Amino acid sequence: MKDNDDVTRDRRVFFRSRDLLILVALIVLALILYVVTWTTRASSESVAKIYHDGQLLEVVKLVPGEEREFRFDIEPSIVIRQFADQSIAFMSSDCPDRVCVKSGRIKRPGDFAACVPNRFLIVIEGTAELSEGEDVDFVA
Amino acid sequence: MSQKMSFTNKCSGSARVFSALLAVLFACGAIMLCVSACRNESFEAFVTGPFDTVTKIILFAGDQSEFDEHRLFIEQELWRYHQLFDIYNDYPGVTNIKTINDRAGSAVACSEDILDLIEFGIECEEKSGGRVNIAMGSVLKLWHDARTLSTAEPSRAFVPDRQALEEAARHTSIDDVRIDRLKGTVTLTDPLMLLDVGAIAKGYAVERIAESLVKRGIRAGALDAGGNVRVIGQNVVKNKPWRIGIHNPFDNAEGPFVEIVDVVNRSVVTSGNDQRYFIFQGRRYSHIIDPATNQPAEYHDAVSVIAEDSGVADFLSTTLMLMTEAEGRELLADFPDCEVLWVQGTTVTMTEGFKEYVAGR
Repeated sequence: MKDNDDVTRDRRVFFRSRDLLILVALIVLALILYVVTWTTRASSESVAKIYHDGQLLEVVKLVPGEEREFRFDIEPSIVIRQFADQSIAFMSSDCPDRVCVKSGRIKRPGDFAACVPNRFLIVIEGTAELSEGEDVDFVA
Repeated sequence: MSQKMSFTNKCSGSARVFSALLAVLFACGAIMLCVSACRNESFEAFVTGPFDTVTKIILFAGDQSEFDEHRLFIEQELWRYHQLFDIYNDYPGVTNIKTINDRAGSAVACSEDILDLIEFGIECEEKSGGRVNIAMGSVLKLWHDARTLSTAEPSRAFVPDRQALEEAARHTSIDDVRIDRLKGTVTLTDPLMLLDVGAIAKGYAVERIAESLVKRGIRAGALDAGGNVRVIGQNVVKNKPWRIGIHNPFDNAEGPFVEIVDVVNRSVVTSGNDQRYFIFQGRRYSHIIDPATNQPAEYHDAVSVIAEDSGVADFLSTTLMLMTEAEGRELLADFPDCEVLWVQGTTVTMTEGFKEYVAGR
């Protein structure tokens, strides 16, 4: 502190305590903004979004114990089923490969299953309870 | 007190200006920190259709409109490559691989992108010892037709006739694929030959698009074209490498992943027998065909590759499905920066380098 004062008196000061105050304030502001953007990302429940050709058809809340079947006039061969264990799956489709049905049940946020020939897509969103390590960005 | 001191301090004019400038500089720095925190916003989108799969896009962008611009670019590029490399469909005004097949026997003028892909394909044939061969379309077509029809009507499932396969296999010599760079043409000198770029086209296209994104200024993002993952930089939101789950080909107690890896600026691609297959007389026939036998490969259930280049990762994962693990490890001497994981039943093995990517839990 004494050294600091000496420097001040020496008139070679580039960095005064007032500047430091501003700097600290700005850093605190930055941190607050950072934390805010972080926490607002978290939501509590996972949902399955069903798209056809990029258009959102249905948002399915994946509630434990709830089972339901979805059919769509736009493509009658497609049957999607929501299961009690908070998963969802393509049950049938008239596509040649049946890749959609073979994908099985999906439930983790970020998971998706698609019927490409029929342009159907199911995407899981939200942050369900995840154990560390299962929180992957992609699957290869 | 300090405030008062700074006011009463008798600074010379220039030092005062200098310190004021310095303060402004610090302030700018702090604001930049702010902005970069806000800029760490990730945007996500799906493109359904190109390469008969779903492509998931994650990019870090300043705002939605900036992301939309990149997303549109990716979507257009995916469709463009899809059309160029398609062997089943014609598109108005597009000369694609199907055009070359349709006009087998004569020279076909085509775009630089097609010439590049075919050149890469010829290289792949050589490096894989003929195992991944873009010239074996005639054989693959028989299997493709059997798979499509057998899946659509399981009661009438069938496998290709062995004699027909042998006959088709006589028209698969890569030497009959001729590229003329000067004229910009491709010629299949064997008129009964067909090209099939299915084993390499998707990874190749993803790599080209990722390179374009880097040129467009993307520092962090990722593309996942149906399990063909290519990441740029790291996951800026988490400030960590990208975390990729290696798909477990079995629905068993091991869970969805056989392993989890952390990667930066890499591609991760898995080839497996569990997604595209059909069943005939209780037996499963996968889509990866061994040119040595003209039958589906049965060496492994899945092979995953980590490489810098997505085209190489895609090609290599298919190649390694078509040889034993020992042969594969030998081949890897030619691919120094590529790391591999093999799944055979409940046995999972990997190269030493792959272990280094495995996420610490």
